This record gives sequence, C-alpha cells and structure tokens, in this order.
Amino acid sequence: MPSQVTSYFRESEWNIVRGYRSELKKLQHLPTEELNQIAEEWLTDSGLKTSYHHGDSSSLYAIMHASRGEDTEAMVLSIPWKTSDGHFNLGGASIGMALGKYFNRMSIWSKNIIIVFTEDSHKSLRQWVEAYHTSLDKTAGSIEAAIILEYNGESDHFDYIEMWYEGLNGQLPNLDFLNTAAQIAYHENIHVSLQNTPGEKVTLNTYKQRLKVFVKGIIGLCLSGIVKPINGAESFSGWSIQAVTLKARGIKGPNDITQMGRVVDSTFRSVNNLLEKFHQSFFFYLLMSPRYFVSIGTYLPSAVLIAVSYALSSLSCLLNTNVSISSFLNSISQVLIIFTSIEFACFLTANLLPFLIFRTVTDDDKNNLVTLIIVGFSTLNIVLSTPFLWKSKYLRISSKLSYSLISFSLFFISMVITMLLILNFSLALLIGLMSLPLTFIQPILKSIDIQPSKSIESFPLMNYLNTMKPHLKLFICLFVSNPIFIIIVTGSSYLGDNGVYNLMTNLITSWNDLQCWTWYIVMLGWFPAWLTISFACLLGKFDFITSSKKLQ
Amino acid sequence: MNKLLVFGVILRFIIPTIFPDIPDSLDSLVELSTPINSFGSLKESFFYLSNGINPYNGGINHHSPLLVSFFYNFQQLLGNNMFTIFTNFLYALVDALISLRLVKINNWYHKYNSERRGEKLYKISDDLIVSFYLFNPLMILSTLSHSTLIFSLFFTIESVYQIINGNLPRSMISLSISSYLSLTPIYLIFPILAFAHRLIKVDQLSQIYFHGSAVFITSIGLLLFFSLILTSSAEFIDQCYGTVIRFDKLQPNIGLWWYFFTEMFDFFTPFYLGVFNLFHFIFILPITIRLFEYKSHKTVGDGFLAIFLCYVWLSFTKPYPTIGDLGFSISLMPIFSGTIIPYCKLIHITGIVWLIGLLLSPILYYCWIVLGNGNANFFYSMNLLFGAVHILILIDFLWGKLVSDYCDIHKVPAKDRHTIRLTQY
Repeated sequence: MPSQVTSYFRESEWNIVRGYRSELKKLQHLPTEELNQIAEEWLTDSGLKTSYHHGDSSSLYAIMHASRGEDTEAMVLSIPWKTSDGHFNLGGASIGMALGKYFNRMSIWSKNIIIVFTEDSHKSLRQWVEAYHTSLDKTAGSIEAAIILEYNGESDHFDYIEMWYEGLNGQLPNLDFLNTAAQIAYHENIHVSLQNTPGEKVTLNTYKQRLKVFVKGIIGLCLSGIVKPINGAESFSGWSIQAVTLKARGIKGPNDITQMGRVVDSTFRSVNNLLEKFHQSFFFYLLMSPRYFVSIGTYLPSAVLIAVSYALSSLSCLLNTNVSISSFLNSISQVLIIFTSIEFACFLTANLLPFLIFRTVTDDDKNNLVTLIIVGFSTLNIVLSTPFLWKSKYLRISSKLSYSLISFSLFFISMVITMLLILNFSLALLIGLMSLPLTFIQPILKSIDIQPSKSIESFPLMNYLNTMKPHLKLFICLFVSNPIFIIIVTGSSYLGDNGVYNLMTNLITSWNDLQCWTWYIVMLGWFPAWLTISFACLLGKFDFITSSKKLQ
Repeated sequence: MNKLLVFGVILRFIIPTIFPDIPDSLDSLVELSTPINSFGSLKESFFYLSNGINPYNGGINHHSPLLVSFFYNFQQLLGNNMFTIFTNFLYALVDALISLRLVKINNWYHKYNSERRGEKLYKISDDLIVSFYLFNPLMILSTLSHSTLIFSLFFTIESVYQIINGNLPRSMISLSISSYLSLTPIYLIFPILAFAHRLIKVDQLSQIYFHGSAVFITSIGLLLFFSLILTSSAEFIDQCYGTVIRFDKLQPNIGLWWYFFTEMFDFFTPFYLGVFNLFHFIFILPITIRLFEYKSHKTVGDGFLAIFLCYVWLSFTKPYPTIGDLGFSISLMPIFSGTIIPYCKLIHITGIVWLIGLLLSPILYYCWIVLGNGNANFFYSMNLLFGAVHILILIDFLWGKLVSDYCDIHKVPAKDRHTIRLTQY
C-alpha cells in the first residue's frame, strides 16, 4: 500500500541535499553542457551509470540497474535544469542528486530507475523520451512511470505541491498513479493543488471549488501542449508511460525539502511493487480534487449527445428544407468535390504555416509572421461571416446544393467529434460546444429564404432592421464559431499577456515540437466545415422559394 | 464504363508502383490483413522455397501451394522489381475482371427479374456497378494491401457468372478453385447448386446435383493432388485448412472469433471450436431453402439473393475476416436496386453504423495497442459493430424479400407496396 513503509529519506539525507544545493548554487549560471558534466561526475561517484543524448540540447541520464529485477522495466525521475517558470531548478536538482545516491544504497528495487537531467521539460525532454524509445544505446527497459520534479529556490521549506498530469492529445496517466502520489502526500501532511489552485484554497472542498478545478481541467487538457508553461508530463505521452509533474510551491510552509524526496521515494516504491500493468479502468477520468473524480461513464454521454445533435441538425437541414434525400444523393458528388477541395486547401495551409514559421530566423520575423497569420484568419472570418454584403451575381449555387453542403459539413463535425470521443474527450466536447452556432445556420437561412418581404413599419429604419435581423443573426453565428475567434478570445481572456500570439504560435508549432495534433484537428476537422458552411451561405441562392411563390 | 474501368485499373496499378511501401504498410493493418490472406506471409514463403525448405514449416505461410508456386515462379522469372510491378498489375487486372463480371451479373439479374415479374424494373447503370466495386474504398484498400482474398472473390463471382452462362462444370471448377484458395467459399456450393437448379436446362434435375458435386469434388481432389505432388508432403492441408478450422492463429482481426478464444479456458476450446464452425455453416441451408425459386409461384424466391445472403453470413462468421469481405458485400448490394432495395428500411442506419465502425476501429485499436489506455474490449466492440452491419444487411434484405413476396402472393396493389407494414407473429 502507498505510504505504509517508512521512507528513510530523512534528516541524514537532508545534509546531502544541502551539500548538493550549496554546490549547485554556485554553478547555476553555467550552460547546460557544463552543468551536465559536473552532474555526471557526481552521479558516477554515487555509483550510477551515465550517458548522454544529444538532441537540440544535450540531456544527461543516469541508470540504476535494479538489484532484484529482470532489468526490463524502469521508472524515470526527470529533473529539468530550468523549471517551467524559467527559474533554476535548484531544489529539484539537489533532491534528484541525493535521491540517486539514496536509491543506489537500497536493495529493494525490482525496477530500474533512470534519472534524467534535461535543459527544460519541453522540447528537450520530449526529444529524450523519443530517443529513448528509438535510438539510444543505453536503456533500461520499458518505462512504467515518470515523475518530473520541480523545486524552485534554495528554501528548505515549502507550502504545498502542485500536481500536473495532463498529457498530449487528451491522454491522461493512470488514476491509480496520481492517487498514489496524492495519498502519499496526504500522509506526509502536504496539501496537493490541482489546476493552479492557490495555496489558501487547496484545502477547500466546496462545490464551487470542485467545479472550478473540473472546468479548468477540461480546458487544460484541451490546451495541453499548446499553452506555456509546458509542465513536462506531456513529454511522456504516447509511449504508455504514466507521468506526473510535481512542483513545490511557496517557501515558508511547514514541509521540508526531504518530504518532497520522500513523496518521490514512496511513489517509486509503490510502482516498484507492481507485478502487472496499471489497471485498465482508470485511464479516463476528470479530476475535481485530488480525491474526487468523474468517471468516463458519467461524462462521455455529454459529448456523445453533442455529436448526435450535430447529426440530427444535419438531418434537419435536409428534411426541413426543400431538399429531399434523393436530391441530396444526386448532388452528393458535387458536395463531395467541393468539400474535398476545401479540405485539401486547408490541408495545404495547415502544413504551410508551420513550415513558414520554422523558416523564420529572427524573433521579429516570427512575430510579424504570426501576427500576419492572425490578421489574415480574422479578415477571412469577417469577410465570410457577412455573406449579405458580398453577394455576387456570378458564381451562384442553388439553395438545394448549399443546404446539402451545410448538412454534409454538420455531419462531418459530428463524425469528427465521434472520432475524438475516446482519444481526446475535452477537445471533442469543446469543439462541439464552440461550433454549436453552426447548427442554427439552417433555420436562419430558411427564415431569410421565405421572408414575407416588406412588412411595412412606420419608420424606414425599423423596416431596414427587420430585414437585417436574420442577417445579423447569421453574422453572429458564423463569426463566433470560427476557430480564430475562439483563439483570440481564449488567448486574450484566459492566458494573459501576449496570450493570443503565444497560443497561435504554439498551436502551429506544437506538432513539430511535441507531436501534439490539436492544430491538425482544428485545421482539418473544424475549419473546413466552417468554411464550407460559410461558402454555402455566401454563394447560395436563397430566394428560391420566394420566387417560386411569386410564380404561383 | 470503359473510362471508369481504365481509371480504376490505373489507380490500382499506379499507386503501389509509385509508392512501393504502401502494400507493405497496409499489409500490417489488422483490418486488412490476417495470417490467412496476408501477402507478406506469401512473400515469406519465397524465402523458404529458395532455401529448399518446405514453406509450410514454421507456421508462417497459410496460402495454398499452387498460389505460392504461381507467385514464386513469377518472382524467380522476373526478379524482385519486375515482380512487384507484375503483382500490382495482376491485382488491378483481377479487380477489373471482377467488376466486369458484376456488370454481366447485374444485366442478367435485371433482365431475368423483369421477365419473371412481367414488368420493367429499375435498373442501375453499368457505370454505377463498376464504380461501386472499383471505387469502393474498402476494396481499394484491400487490393492495395495485396490481400490474396481477391483471388478467391474472383473465382466465387466467376462461379456465379458461369451458372448464368449455363455452364455448370465451369462454375463448379471455379468454385472449387475458390474453396481451394480460402476454404470458406466451399459452403457456397449449396446456394449455387440451388441457383443452377432453376437456371440450367437439363433433362433430369437430379443431374445438376450429381454432376455438380461430382465435378466439384473431382476438381478439388485434383487441386489437392497437384499440391501434394508439388510439396511432396501433406503438411499444407493442415496449414491451409486446419488453421482455419481450428483457429490456430489467435490474433486480433475484425471478426468475432478471436476474442472468445482469448478469454476462454483451454479445456473449453475444442467444444467451442465445434460450436463456432457449426455456426459458420448453420444458416446456409435455411437461407438457400427459404429463397429457393419454386416452380409453384412465379416470383417467389431469389436464387442470387440466396447466394448474396449466404456470402454475407459467411463473411459475418468467418474466423479470419477482413474489411475486404464486408466491402465486397457492399459492392454487391446495388445489383438488387430494382428488386429488394425498394423494400429495405434500414439502409441508412446500416450506412451510419458501418461508417462509425470504420472510423473508430483503427482509433480504438491504437488506444489498445499503442497508447495502452484501452484494452481488447475497445477494439472488439467495433468488431461487434461490424457484426451488426452484417446482421443489419442480412435482416434488411431478407425481410425486404419476404415483404416483396407477400405483396406478390397477395396481389397488393402497387401504390401500397412500399407503405405496407408487415409484422411477424
């Protein structure tokens, strides 16, 4: 059971931690390569085997081969030299060094332990993880669990632990692993904070607090990999590794630095005792507090219902207008051609933009380029959201075809949500919610379509407003459901300074840096559907019924 | 139609010729490749042969000896690069032949049923039939993965076509080759003979059954005999057919079998093997008999529908199915657009279930195998969905036919035909 054995990482080790810390403090301004060399010396002195991985920056890792194990499984303690806040990870590195020494003295291990020192927990850690599974020579078996340790500053004491667990692409570590860490922290009398909950609120267990953590968790899972700071747990995604980031917060609290080491030690000992893999049932959850979670059976139906609602409104697009199923089937090849070409254009754009960004040399260029991209998308959004202003006389399509296009796009979104349900619930839910206005397009178009033209009001202005009302609705629906609108709103309201710029940059570059596919889902799943619907609004001839009525 | 045909062939020929990695990578997909029909394992056996080892040692190769030696000889003759181009061309050609046979069958089916009913039925155009086969994404994927399933499909459809042509021995020889290649089509002999019963003019009807089965048994015997001479051991029988019957290769595929046998205690396995094999066969005769075209009533029964439904049933209960099996039954469906499809009520639902299965099956497999956050149940649930697609097609078409028969027998007026609601009690 977690935290039932006594951890010996106590007072005697405290002195060792302090020793490493005072040495590291002197070295903290050295570049990563030199730090790694010194750390390598220390780790070799403690009796560990060390090796390097040279990616964009060099990473050092030390392997402790388990005395009782089969040498096939490993646990990772990852220490970034720079924490996610940009400080030197002084406490974390000292604990890591001391733990390396301490682990090696114990004879209980049946799984290997790897201690990794990387420049930061973003790209360099990700590259190390990838290299470990593909190209590194010295390895220690499949990694079962990983802890990323961050401890800013030189204080001996801290207030509470922040736990970050979101993986890339909607993946989560096994809940048992998180529970183990939280349980151990609880027995050490350390409070655990989720989703950036500030220190004074971590002990609150009110409805409001839980709801806040819950909603922030959904948004966080959706934005993981594309919002800085990257916490490090993301880097282990995709290789079936349970990873959690533990950050010590505050400098005054009742807890001392060896307790942080004890949390790592006890968690590793719990994982060490596992004979099988982590249990299947606990990979899908949404946490509300360290001890409460919502399980998949409860939350999944919400996104399923949203997917169904898109499918239904797609059907309603055909049934509630003059498009019969058979005429839809007749125009299906046209619909498919139009949609495929839009999808193809989006695919090109989606690949071109990251390419361009990686081609920029200076930060200024990059800045200008991203600003240009944001402005470009916003202009496109405004232009296409106001179809009534740009009605051309040429290049029109029949209202039947445009209803078919809308219907097909809605069905497409429904399928995208269905596909994402299991993989990335949060993204599925949020895309579903945010593009929901698209389902109102068809009723609005219909109301324009069969408008009883000119009902006479006393004021000409009112008259004008009345005719404009559905157009205004159409504008709002299209405008707010565009990805760029959501990016701007999220960036400026949720992420603080320079949020829009950072969000856009990270969104575009995250595939190349971290293999986070949110950009492609947005550009190939959401955006083409939006484009198709707005083109259908722009080009459609929605005076079909009125004119046929006139004929009668 | 010629344009479509050329385009379909070029598509199948050009893509794997320009990107030679595509067949290999598709061959590693669980939806497309099983130990029984994987082209990779066929190529593996070339290595055995060139080193003078019996290709049926080692349990890798489960292809019939004649097929192996056919490909092996071409590989020896042409060298590796030309051999790749040759296989690309061969697969494209066989697909084109299948689509041509489907056109012939469609034309015959329309003419035959229009005559039987004495009214002009709706006929789906040749172009559509060809496109439904050649541009069916499942068939394209199946061909590009170079699954050897397609040869067996070709000989099955050829067998049906030869019955229409009035040539029973040829039909039986084709069916025997098809069964020799992949065992499952052996069960189709019942609906095909019943089909021949109505179509082939002979003096004595029992001749059809005697001659038919005699030709079938003889030719299958000959094929086995040649294989025996070729490999100079009987090991291939065990490897090619025993593996299918005993379900030796316990690997995930999109069928219903594997999950049961992974979850089961070993001592139950023989019993359930019996049950599953029985299940595989059990509805063949009932479907054949129910849809038999009796002389007593002119329009009741439909021999070709019986073959189609038996095929769907076999694809549903196969030990090693691929999505090519399901794709082929979908390519056959438009042939019935004049007769049964107007009575079908579940086509749209089937389509959506099928689509969701296709989208989610690779994702859930990825969750299970790569990410490790799912388990076998995830993937198997999608297999059940594929099973549901088979069953939906089966009940929809069968019920559609029964409604149509009811309308004919009770002379329901034309305007009520598609609104009539029948229930079983």
